Amino acid sequence: MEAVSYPLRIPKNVIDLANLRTKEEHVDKSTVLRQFLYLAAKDYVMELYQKGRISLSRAAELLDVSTFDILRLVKEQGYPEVTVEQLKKSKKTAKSLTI
Amino acid sequence: MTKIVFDSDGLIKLTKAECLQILLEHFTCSITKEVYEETAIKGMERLYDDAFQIEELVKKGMLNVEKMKNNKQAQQILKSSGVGRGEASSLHLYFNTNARAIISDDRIFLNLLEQNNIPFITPADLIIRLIELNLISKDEAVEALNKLKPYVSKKNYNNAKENLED
Repeated sequence: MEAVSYPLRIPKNVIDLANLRTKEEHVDKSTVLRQFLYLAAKDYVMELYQKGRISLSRAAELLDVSTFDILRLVKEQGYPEVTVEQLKKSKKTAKSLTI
Repeated sequence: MTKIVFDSDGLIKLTKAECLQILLEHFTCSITKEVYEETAIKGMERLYDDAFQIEELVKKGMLNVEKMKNNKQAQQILKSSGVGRGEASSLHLYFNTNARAIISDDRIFLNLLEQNNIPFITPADLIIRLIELNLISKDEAVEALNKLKPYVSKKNYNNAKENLED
C-alpha cells in the first residue's frame, strides 16, 4: 500500500495510549498510531458497507483487502438486508432461467 | 447455454454453498478480470481456500474471465454510484455479452440494478432454481442454504427456506 506523509495534531491522550501499546506490544509509536488510524478507517468502511452506502468491491478497494476479508468481517456483524421487492424480482428472474 | 455474470459477492457465496461447479456445468458463467483479481488473486494471497477453488475452475476453463470493454449504457448507469470496480465491470460485461442476469446479493448493487430494470438473482434464489431445474435434490439445496446462511441476511435466508417449502 502506498504511503504519504500528512501533518497532523494528535490529542495527548491518544499519544499516551500509543505509548502504552508501544510498551505492551513492543512496537514503535508510529506503527501504533498507523494501526489506530487503520482500525478506525476499517470500522468506518464496514459501517458504510452495512448501511448499504458502498458495495463489497468498493469496501475491499478502500481497505486494500480481498472481498473475502470483507465478507469475513461482516459475518461477525450481520449482512445488509435486501428489500422485499428485490427478493421478489430476484425470484422472478430466477424462475425464468433455463438451461 | 444461458449466460450469467457473477460479481464477487455472488461468486464467493455460491462457492461457499458448494454450488459453483454445478452452475458451471449447465450455464455459461463469466466474471470480469476485476472480479477475478479481487476474489481469486487477493484471496489466494491471504490463503482463503475458496479463492484456490475459484482459481482451479478458471484454470480448467470452466469459469470464464473476461476483459472489460466499456459500454455506454453501463457508464451512464454507474455515474455517481457507490459500487466498486468489481460490480462496475460486471455491469459492463452484462451489457456487452447480453447475459441473462447478474448474480449478486450486494445491497447497493442490487439497488442500482433494480432502478435500471436489469435482471439479477441472489445466490439463495439461484440455489432454489437449481432444484426446480432438477440439477440438485432438495436435500442438497438445504445443505447449500445452510452453508450460505452465515453469509446472507436473515430475511434472505428465511425467504429462500420458504421458497424451498413451496
